[in-house]
Amino acid sequence: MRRPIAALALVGAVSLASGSVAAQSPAVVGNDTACDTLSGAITAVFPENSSTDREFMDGVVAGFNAVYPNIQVDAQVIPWGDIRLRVDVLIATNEYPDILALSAFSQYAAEGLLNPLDQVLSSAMLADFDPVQLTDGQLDGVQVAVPWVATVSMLAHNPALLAQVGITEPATTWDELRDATQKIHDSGSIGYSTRGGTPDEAFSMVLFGNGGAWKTDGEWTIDTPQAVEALTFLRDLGQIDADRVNVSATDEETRQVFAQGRIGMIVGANAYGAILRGYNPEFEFGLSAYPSADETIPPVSFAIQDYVMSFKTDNDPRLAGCFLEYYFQPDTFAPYITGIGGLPGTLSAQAMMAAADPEIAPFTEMLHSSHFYPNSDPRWPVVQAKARETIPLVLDGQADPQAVLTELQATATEGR
Amino acid sequence: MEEHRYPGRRYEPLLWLAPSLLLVLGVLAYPIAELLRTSLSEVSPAGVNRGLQGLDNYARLLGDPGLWAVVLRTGLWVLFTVLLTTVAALGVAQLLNARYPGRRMLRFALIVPWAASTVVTTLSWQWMLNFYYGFVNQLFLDLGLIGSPVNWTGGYDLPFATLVFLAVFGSVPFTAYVILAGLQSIPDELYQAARVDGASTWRAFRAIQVPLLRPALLVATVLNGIFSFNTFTVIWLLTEGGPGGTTDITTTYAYKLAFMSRDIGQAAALNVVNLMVLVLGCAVYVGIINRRGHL
Repeated sequence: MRRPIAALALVGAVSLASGSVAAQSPAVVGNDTACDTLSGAITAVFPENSSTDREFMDGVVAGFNAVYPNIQVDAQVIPWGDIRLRVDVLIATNEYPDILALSAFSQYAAEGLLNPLDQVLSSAMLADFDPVQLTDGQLDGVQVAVPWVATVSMLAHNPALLAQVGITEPATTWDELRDATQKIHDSGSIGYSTRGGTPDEAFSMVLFGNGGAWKTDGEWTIDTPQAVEALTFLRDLGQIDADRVNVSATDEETRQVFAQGRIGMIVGANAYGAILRGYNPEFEFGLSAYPSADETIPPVSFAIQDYVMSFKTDNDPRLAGCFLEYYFQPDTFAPYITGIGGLPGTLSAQAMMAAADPEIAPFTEMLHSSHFYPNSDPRWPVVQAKARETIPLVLDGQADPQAVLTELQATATEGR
Repeated sequence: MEEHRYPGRRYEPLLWLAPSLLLVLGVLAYPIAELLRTSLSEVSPAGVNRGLQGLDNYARLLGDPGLWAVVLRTGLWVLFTVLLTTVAALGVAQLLNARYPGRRMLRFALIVPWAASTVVTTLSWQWMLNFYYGFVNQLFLDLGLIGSPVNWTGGYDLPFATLVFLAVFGSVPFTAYVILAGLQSIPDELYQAARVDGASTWRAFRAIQVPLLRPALLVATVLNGIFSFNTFTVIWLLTEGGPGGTTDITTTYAYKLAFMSRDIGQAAALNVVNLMVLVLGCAVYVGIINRRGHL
């Protein structure tokens, strides 16, 4: 009696979950193989987004092994500061990880080190990923990385400081931004600190806000007139508070000072609520889309994306797929992403999080119309590192915007 | 008792040294060989070694426009740290050489910054020099020495000077002890004779100490030069060679080449050049010792 109903419920659950995999049903992966028939040992390397990550990962592995005891998973959670080095070592010693979550994938894809994900994940699983972010993870049309977690960068402002100088609405154009910054500076506080967010992020906000882009139609466009204009604007904006801002302040230090109510505006991300309230529980702040150059250009929505990828190893790629299908189930994935304050790469998790917290919905909407870094270009990690070194020099008035951007363009287009 | 003379007797010391030699070969020779090989290879940004490529990396290194500023700065760094360390250590050594109660305490206190790990020292100073919360700014503000907080480790003007200070702070103890050893070998009669001849303290210092300290000073200078050229920890912890590479020396620059620009081949080439410089320094040092026959 029970079995037909159970089977019916099972089929119903699978179809209702629209691509996400229910814990008890046999997972279908690339080439539609049930994970029960596979066995092996794989390694997974993840960055540490919060102090509870390790605990979470242990729980996921335990849950996974309860369903598929034949697949051993060595899951490592490594702090962001160390993970690039760790991956370098793994690659140098030919111990490629079966699964890797990281902020960049293009240089590995360009070497042919990654599995095409249709060999790893089922088509149902791939369909659950946010299509806008999915295209970003492709190289020459092959899906090599899937979106894991993203944050949207915006303008974080202190309403109290703005109100003090008679401004009720956060700036939407550059003129308004400059005006607000000057007024807050004149009132004795720091109007705008260019040290919020990483230098490449800070530059991206004004670059896209001026109608420019890192790459346009497949070509690098870092030293266009719009880009130079954007960087010059950012420099001039930052110089208003030059005497008050510590030029070597780190991202974190700037957030702390912002949370103390001493800065009017900085670049902030949707996840900032938890972080800022961690520094100052009573702190009130607002998030709005970053201003664009003028009304003809829409306010800037810029997203920073982390990816999950799978390296070609001696293991069957479907083993990695089995674990990932389990990992990406909304019941497992959504609570984790909610905990770290990011935005998930899967539609099911987005829906689940939006249902639980209506404040998430506008951010996931923003994600769909966001600009991204040129993540699929193999030169991007090098360009990004160079940008982080040289853009602060421009912001501090130590280098010329055109010269620095021309150099970045050269770094990007220099072949190897 | 007669010493047995057997063929190969003269090579016996090598046998005793064999374990250490093997260790040195393993820990030094193999990595150096790998370094040389990497500097002659093409390594992709992802870290995959694509095989030998000749002197390509060296050519690109020489063509790197940012390198020469770094080389110049490295030269200035070595010059200033060694010079200031020597001058300061000469003064401190006099203090250590004089007789007064509590001298032993002073000698002990001096060893501590040198013995403490560089990381501990640097991080302690980093906190003391913090722009917003540091003890140094607070003290100077209270004493009226400065009008507003000074950015010791950030900005574009002061970090280099701060770094030199920290490096000197760490090397004065060692140098002072080397000079002290030299001072203690100067016989007292020389000072007495000078006083009888009517020489002032300063004249005595110039005429007696400077020439007799020359060997000790030479040793200290060469060793300090080598250590200073090799500095990485202090600079990386305090400024990461920044802002914008304005406090980079060749060691930090090589690190950035490898891990930020992901140009591991070029970084290896730079490190081979660094190694050559260090080998030269060591050759000079060994030359001095051999000539003198002792330290």
